[in-house]
Amino acid sequence: MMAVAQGDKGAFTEIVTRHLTPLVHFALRYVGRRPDAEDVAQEAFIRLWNHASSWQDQGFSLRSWIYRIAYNLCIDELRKRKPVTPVEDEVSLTSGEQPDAELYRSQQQTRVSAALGELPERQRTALMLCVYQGLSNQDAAAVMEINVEALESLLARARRTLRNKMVETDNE
Amino acid sequence: MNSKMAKLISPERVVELLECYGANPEAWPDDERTTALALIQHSTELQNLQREAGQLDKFLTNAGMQEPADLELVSRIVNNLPVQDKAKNSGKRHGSTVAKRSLFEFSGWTGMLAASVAVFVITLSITDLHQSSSLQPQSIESQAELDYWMWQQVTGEADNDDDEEPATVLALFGLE
Repeated sequence: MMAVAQGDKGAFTEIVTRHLTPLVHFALRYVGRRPDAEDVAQEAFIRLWNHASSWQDQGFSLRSWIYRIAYNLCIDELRKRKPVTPVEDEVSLTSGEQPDAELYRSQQQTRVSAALGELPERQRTALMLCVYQGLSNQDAAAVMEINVEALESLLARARRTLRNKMVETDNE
Repeated sequence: MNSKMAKLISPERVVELLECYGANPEAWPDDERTTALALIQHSTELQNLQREAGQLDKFLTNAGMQEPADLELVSRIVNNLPVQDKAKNSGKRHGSTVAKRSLFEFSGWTGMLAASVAVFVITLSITDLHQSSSLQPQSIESQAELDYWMWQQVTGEADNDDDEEPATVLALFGLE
């Protein structure tokens, strides 16, 4: 990051390459459309580039700092939109010739994606940061500006809701 | 490392960990992992809960499968970067360096020019002061007299009552 603060584009490219994909997926859960998620990621990296020197002053890990920027951008984007755009299915079920296992997996993905999309925003964020982005509980709590206990409460409620939804769907 | 940091926790806390973070011990807080695993190893109930949590983890993992990094997007981001605000970036951490560099830069040819102008102005001032001092009448003895003489110099008023200096320019050159 020191190198990035000095304008080193090579170092910056490494950071972008490492974090871009999970960041786009993170944003996608909020903004729903891939181009919008890519725009959020791009804006997050531009802010990182412009404020590289103040990173250490924030007291976060680099990853949690990037997610914090992206999270705030997503929330801003959602505030601009009314009503919230539903989460787009990331799985395309275009081929009717998929093997059964793959088809089943795709259906599961669709179900879980839909269930995630229905979670309250804070629960979904907590889950995404810890499960999909692999942030530590402290980093995830820092991104959301809450303490670890509050984060755990959100996580537990999110998982309970998802589990109930999956059971409901299985019983239908 | 974990054994060094291991924190004593209750079976209830293990249930909480499973409910919050799922079945994968890697997702649990570092300082609670070792003890939690030991408690699970000795409890069938906790093992069942871990298995249940693992099923949800599997769903979540499948739903979160990510496509590989979009290299085109990486290029787009890197190639469209704005000019970095160096002053903002280096201001906090390298403020003194920037200040020193500015001083150094100012001490180049612009500094030389500024110094030359300053010397010229000072020289002029000293010369003028010296000339003024030489015009100062030797007869001034009190502060009041000095003030009056200064007033005359500034306003151009002349006290011709008791001197013999010509009153006009023509008289000055003997043309009157």
